Amino acid sequence: MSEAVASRYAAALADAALAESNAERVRRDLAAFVAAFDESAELRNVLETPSVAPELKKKIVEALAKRMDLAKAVRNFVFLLVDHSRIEMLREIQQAFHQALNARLGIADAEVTSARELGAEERRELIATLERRTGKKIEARFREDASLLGGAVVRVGSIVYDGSVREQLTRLREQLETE
Amino acid sequence: MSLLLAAGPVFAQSSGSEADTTSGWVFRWINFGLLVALLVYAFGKAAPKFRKNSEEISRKIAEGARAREAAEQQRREVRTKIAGIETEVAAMREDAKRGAEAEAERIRALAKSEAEMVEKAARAEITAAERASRMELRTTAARLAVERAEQILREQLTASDESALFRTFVAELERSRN
Repeated sequence: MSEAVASRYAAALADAALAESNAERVRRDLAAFVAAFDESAELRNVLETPSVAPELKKKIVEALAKRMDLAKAVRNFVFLLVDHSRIEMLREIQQAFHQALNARLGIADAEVTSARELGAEERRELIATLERRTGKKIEARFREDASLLGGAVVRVGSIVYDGSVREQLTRLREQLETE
Repeated sequence: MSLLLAAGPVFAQSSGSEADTTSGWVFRWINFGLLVALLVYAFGKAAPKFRKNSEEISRKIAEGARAREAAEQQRREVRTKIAGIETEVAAMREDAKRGAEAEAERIRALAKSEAEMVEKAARAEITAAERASRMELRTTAARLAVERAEQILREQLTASDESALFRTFVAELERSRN
């Protein structure tokens, strides 16, 4: 339920950001505000407490937006969340916004796990291959997991490409068990 | 008549010297008369009782005859009823014997059927256990083989091997796109 609500707010913000042609700034500023929100317990306490008047909350957000030089779209969006008492969904909405904006910009998130750290050339080659394969711009995050033994695992959205030695050994074991 | 004969000795005892006189005959006749009267009186008193006894005896004889007739009738009826009873008993015995044989046969068939079912279940259980054992053995063998392969890979896989593996993965991604 909350996921659907977060998706609706995120889609609205993504459309607004694209309309103002400052999508990346909105993405960056929203992430900065969420970081501040997570960092400051006092800020969270004020914004999440129902007994605090919305006007006071908006004044605080306004002051913070000026100090952080946040995009107008981000400030107005936080105002909207304050008015609708949805500020507790801020983190969820930010994640949904990231995905919604990427979808609109033709960007796909890729999570690459390899047995060892990949070199720059290997990363470029993999990203280029994934972009050709998906037809989207790939934003990849890389991490290492030695238990893979060799090869790599790539997750793009809900699709997983598993080229690890671990996976091959698992398949081999299943084949031996069924023969 | 018997009373008169009983009075006879009165005359006989009075025979002798005085017996032939007139007064002697009178006394004799008086004695005789008294005796007859006494006898008639006694007989009159006893006659109803004799008659009653006689009737009682006759009644009992009649009753006995009737009872005998009833017993005879009952005996005839019993004989009629039990006529052929031996044949029936024999037939019943024969039926019972056949029934017992049929029951014994049914029990034998049931026991045989149950024995077959038990044997079938046991065979199925053995087959399942055999299958499970084979599967477990295969699983264990596969696990050991893969564990050994993993150990060898950990020991012998070089950086260039890993690079080759990565390049192969990227090439497969590229190939499967087309």
